Amino acid sequence: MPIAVYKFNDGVSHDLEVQADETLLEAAIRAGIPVRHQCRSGSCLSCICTTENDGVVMRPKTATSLLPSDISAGQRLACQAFLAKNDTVFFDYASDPKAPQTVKAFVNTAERVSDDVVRLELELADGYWLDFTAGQYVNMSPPGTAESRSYSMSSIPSELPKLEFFVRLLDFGLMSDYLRNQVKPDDIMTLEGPHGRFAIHSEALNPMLFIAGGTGLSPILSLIRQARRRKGRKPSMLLSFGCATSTRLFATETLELLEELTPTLTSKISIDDGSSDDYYSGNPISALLDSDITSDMSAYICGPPGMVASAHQYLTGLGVESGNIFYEQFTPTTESS
Amino acid sequence: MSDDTPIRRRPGSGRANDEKTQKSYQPYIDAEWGFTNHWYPALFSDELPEDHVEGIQICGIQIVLRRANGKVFALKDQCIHRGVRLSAKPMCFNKSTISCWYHGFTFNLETGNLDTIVGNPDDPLINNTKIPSYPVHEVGGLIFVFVRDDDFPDEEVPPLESDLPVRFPNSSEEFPHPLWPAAPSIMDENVVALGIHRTGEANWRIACENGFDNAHILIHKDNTIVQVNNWVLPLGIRPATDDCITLIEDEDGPKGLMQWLFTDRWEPILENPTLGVSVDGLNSRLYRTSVVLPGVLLVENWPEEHIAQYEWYVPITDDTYEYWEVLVRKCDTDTEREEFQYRYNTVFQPLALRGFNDCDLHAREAMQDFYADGTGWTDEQLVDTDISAITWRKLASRHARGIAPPGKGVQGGIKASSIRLRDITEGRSPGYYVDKITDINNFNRTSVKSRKT
Repeated sequence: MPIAVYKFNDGVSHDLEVQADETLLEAAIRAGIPVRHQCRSGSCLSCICTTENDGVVMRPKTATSLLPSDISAGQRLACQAFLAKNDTVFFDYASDPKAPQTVKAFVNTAERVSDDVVRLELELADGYWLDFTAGQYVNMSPPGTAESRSYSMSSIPSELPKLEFFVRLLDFGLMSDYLRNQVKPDDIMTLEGPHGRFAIHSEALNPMLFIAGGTGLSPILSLIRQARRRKGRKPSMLLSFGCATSTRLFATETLELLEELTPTLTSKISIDDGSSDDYYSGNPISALLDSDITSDMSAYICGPPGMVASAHQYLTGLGVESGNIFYEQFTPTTESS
Repeated sequence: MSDDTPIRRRPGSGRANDEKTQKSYQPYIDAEWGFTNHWYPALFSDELPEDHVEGIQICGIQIVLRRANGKVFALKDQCIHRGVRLSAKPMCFNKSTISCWYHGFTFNLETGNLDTIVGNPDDPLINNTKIPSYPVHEVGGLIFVFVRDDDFPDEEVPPLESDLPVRFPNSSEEFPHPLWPAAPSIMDENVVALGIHRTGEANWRIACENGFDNAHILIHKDNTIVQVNNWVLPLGIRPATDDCITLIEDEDGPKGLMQWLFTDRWEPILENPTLGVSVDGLNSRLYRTSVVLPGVLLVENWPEEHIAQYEWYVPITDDTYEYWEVLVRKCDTDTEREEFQYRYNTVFQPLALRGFNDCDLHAREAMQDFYADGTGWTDEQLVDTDISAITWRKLASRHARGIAPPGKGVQGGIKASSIRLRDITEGRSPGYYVDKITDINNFNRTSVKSRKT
């Protein structure tokens, strides 16, 4: 059987054996190759592709929207094309619409929301878009540098063109120095992304548990905001969020509001040093009761590696399946200069 | 993207919200085109006889309704092919499908599936695409449609009752009403629902908030039905205690609020010393208002004993709504039915639904310009009686099942489209029903010019 190479403009390509009686489109659909299509009858041009050789032939005696000159220029319609011998077909779009790209965004606001956290709101510049999934991150470069650091969005795709981040300030560092000393509205940031597989993994209604340490809350907020938009009934959601001290605690008003707007969400807030009576004393894992955990839960964890590891151990110990525990670890970039 | 200097997006349609105060009901402010995934009345049953097809628009979604073998079906009224409204020129070859009159795309009434194409029965698109369908519940002479986002799952469609006011006497213990008999529900047996619906030119939220605004009683003092009954209304009604409103939030029930009117939780105002105005011999009709999502008003004991008035403010676009006024009464015998119908025709319709509530239509329209560009939500200066509206906004924000996106590819999506402007020029205002093609040989427009030979 001849082999077709499906090539996309992001460099991704797939080799596929195509049977004699199936079109290139039918073969692609069978194999899960993302060829755009709509009418399947040679009319709409969605599945247009180009070939440099003569291995791809159009269905004989069939009218399509391709002009004779298009055909001689190598254009084909996958829905009406068969593979006579090995050939390569090129599709002039990315194989993954969510493939990482580089975009520009303006600073709307940058406000210190605790001793060491800045809430950063960006807005994509005109002509740019960032198709991401709730829970993902981008590599962000402040103005005037090509160096970048990774930050997870706390906002969700439906809030685009706005993007929100909670950024932890380190004692020194690329982004920390910038946010501490220089940032001002209308600064232009460069974002590269999206990246990451931290995302809601099931549309089912089973209960969701979220555990966040420090700015690990950022992607967790995104997930919760996304989950509460589920069509139909909302899953029951429990968030346990902790910070080291009460002066480093942030986003409490945001969480309060989110709870107000989401009847199925409850949250527990803890601080490690026990310096306030308003919050649980300890870490976000110790704030949980065994009775909070049910084995049918999906758990989403984000924070420092130690916290992620002990949360994982705690939950599996209570019967939560490992396959239903999803996590993202936050580690500061080691500064070389 | 090019490497040109990045430029700011053009500012949006100019909302200037004070984020702090409004965040608690931001979803409500965002719901300019309504709340989706809720049940709305679409037509009175008698507007849709067997085999009849009608087109309407709710929350910026065009919907076609057809009755076949007694059952009502609802589909998106927009052919997947070129966006034509199926209802503009209904074409049905059998009882289980509706065909587009333009190119014959034929959709299954139950599922919306593309069953065939009249002149192209072997096309590969057949059975590979569909138009969205909407669950229907017909009760008490009303056809309700569950207006949903395209991907809302069938198995999670809630029962109609979760979008209707609380029922009595079931809720009589929770919400006692010693001064009047239990209000009838549209879901009760042997109820008769009589009413009208018409298009109002305002945003649906402006209309809805007027319905249970206790301070707006002032506009009604000169209404004929008030004067002819010798009702003497207070100047206003103020909240007197912190429990004057009860939230209705039972898990599987409707979500809304009940106002404890004509109890000591609300104080009637009889005098304004600054103006030297006072009310003597208070003799108000006793009533009570409650409102539940997606904006359903129940006025108990109104306009007469044993009758309840229901109102809906169904969003059509962001600046038009279909105003439903329905009187519900239990009528166990034919005589009772006839008497109710007679009294409806001679008194309630002209004096209550028209006279009294026409006054509200004036008021809603008067508010519209202030809120139309979004700034009214920030600029409004509220007083204590507005707790009703604000409580409703917060509750609606918490429990609404979806926010309708701005209408896309539908009537009213572009305010100054040439068709709209022509219709207005010819004296037809934007409305609820589809504009049907009645005479195919006559494109009956006034702007035809013939060439002189």
